[in-house]
Amino acid sequence: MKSKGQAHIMEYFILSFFVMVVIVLLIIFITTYQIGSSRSEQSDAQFQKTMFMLKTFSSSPLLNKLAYKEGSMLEDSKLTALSSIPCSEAEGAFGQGWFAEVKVIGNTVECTRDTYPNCGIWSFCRKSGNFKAYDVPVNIYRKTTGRVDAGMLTVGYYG
Amino acid sequence: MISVLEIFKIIFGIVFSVFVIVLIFRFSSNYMEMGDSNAQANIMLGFRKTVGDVFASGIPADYAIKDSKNLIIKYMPPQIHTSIAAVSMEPVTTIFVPGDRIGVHRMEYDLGWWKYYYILALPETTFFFNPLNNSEETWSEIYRVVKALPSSENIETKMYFGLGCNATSDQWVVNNLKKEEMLRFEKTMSVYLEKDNFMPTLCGSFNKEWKTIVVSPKFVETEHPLMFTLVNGTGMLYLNTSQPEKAHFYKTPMDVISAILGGKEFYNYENRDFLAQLSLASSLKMEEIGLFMHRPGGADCLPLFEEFRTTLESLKGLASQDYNDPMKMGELAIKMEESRQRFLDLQVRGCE
Amino acid sequence: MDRHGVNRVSGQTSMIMIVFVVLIMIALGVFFLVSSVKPTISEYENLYVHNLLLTVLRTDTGYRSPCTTISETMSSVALTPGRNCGGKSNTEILDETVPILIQTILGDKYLTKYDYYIKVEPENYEVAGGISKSYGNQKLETRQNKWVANEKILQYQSNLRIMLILADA
Repeated sequence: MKSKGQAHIMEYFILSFFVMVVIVLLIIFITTYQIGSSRSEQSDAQFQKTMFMLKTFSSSPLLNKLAYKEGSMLEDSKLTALSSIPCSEAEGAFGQGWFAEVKVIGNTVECTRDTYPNCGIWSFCRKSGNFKAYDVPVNIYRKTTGRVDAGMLTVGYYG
Repeated sequence: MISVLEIFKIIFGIVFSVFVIVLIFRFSSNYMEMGDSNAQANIMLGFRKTVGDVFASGIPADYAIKDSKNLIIKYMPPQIHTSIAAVSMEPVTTIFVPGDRIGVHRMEYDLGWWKYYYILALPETTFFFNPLNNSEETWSEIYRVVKALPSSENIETKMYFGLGCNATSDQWVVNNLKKEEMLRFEKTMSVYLEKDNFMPTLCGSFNKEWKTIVVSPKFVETEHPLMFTLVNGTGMLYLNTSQPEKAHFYKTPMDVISAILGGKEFYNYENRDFLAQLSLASSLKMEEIGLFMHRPGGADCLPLFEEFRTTLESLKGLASQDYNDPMKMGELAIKMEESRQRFLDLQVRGCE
Repeated sequence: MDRHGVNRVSGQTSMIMIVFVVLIMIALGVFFLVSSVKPTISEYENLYVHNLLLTVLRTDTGYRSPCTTISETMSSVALTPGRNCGGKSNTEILDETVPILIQTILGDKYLTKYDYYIKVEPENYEVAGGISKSYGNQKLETRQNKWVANEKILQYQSNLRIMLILADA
């Protein structure tokens, strides 16, 4: 009788023990998930910042052909002008820590005052270091000939 | 009779259940807080995404900010400070007034050779103008500011406009006009002036929720912001006429709008951004001109390019001056108009 | 069955019930995990496909009017198919430039590779018919995970609608 009672009590303790183990496992699991979720949210914030900059840059009136309100029609003379001035001036308007590049499809000549207009690569605020970048197709308007080329705009942030 | 074991079972069961329930409640309330913070962060990141989309497309949009009074502590441009984190609106110049339902608009200031884009993100707002005289200059000033404010034709968050008051009849007030109606109304104002013997006067009372601007070529004491018009679209803006030493010089309608909506802080932010962008735009345009000036066949354009470049150099220099200095900013306003005209000349001659 | 047997069975039942409870709780945990997984962010892909379509439409073909840009060539094919545009017919120009341009742009992506499908037809094609041109992998129309951009070319008689689909290759 005594051992029967003890066995019954033991059952309850074992059951409680298992339930506690499961609850603790669930708590650990949810906490780990939240930590992982916060990390992915941090990279999501970086992604959002880069997307914001991509949209701003591709539609900036400083770089687009006048009258193209929807943007993404970058004028080659404006791109050459921006790549000729110090990065610190551009950072005054666009913020810090970013870089950008525009490339005309099939053209490998870096644009400077001397190579303009027969060139097709413009770089802005390029530095060394780790970065995360995204690119989108854009048009490049050739001011001297009136021709519209296809190209890629890459925008990214360092760090 | 109930056995000891059964008593044990009952007590054990109660104690254990209470323990588990309390543990779950405590944990779930932490989890709910984390969930709430996530939701709040997503609202503000979503707002920034909307601002980016509107800036890129130019198409206005509505945005709902749930419980904005508790979520947003303050907008100190360019950062929106919330109860969890700060969200930066850089590099887009954003004039933002918090509210539960926001209309996001891309506005522009056009100099011909360059456009300045900025975002106005406002809840439902009524802009009420109280001119104190009938002159063409006063109506032009009002027209200029109204033109720089958003139209809410295609979105749900509405902007309304109003005008008043008339001394000759009962306090005559027009409000709840849309932007297009307001602009048309001003143009036909002279008809009403003759017909109704309209004598503009300071309104006796105003709706406290309206953004009211008194417009006058003379200084008057008023409880509302006063636009003291000077020349060429410039003047002094008194947010509080009892402190005339704290007036702001305005050279563009954006100066007026930013000060009315957010006081000195917004005025400083808008000026810093606008002048930085103007300086950069001038540098870029001068570089661009340098690429074309000495091209073969461009001899006819050379004098025009030289004149335009000289104006841009002055602009760049003036853009780095103190925006609170009326003399310098008055000069800047003149140079901006000059640059607009010079660029038009270039276009007419086929040089641009 | 004797008393000892009854107790053994009762003890075994309890153990089985414990195992069931544990299994149910694990299943609940897995269910919560799976249902809380967010769908992948497609903001970038949507921006990309919209910009790609806009870029393609506005790019010059290198030929004369009315085939100066790809969108003009599309209009020309819809209105006057086979019309000569400085050496080649508008249909030939379109067939040549559109797939090559899109493939060149997509080939520039060194990480993720996309497949594409583009269709150009009159707005009321289902009712009035007309010329429909398409390039790329038609199977993408029925794919679940895809990104779509639409544009319209306004023109006399019937506007043209252009649809571009991108999906993971």
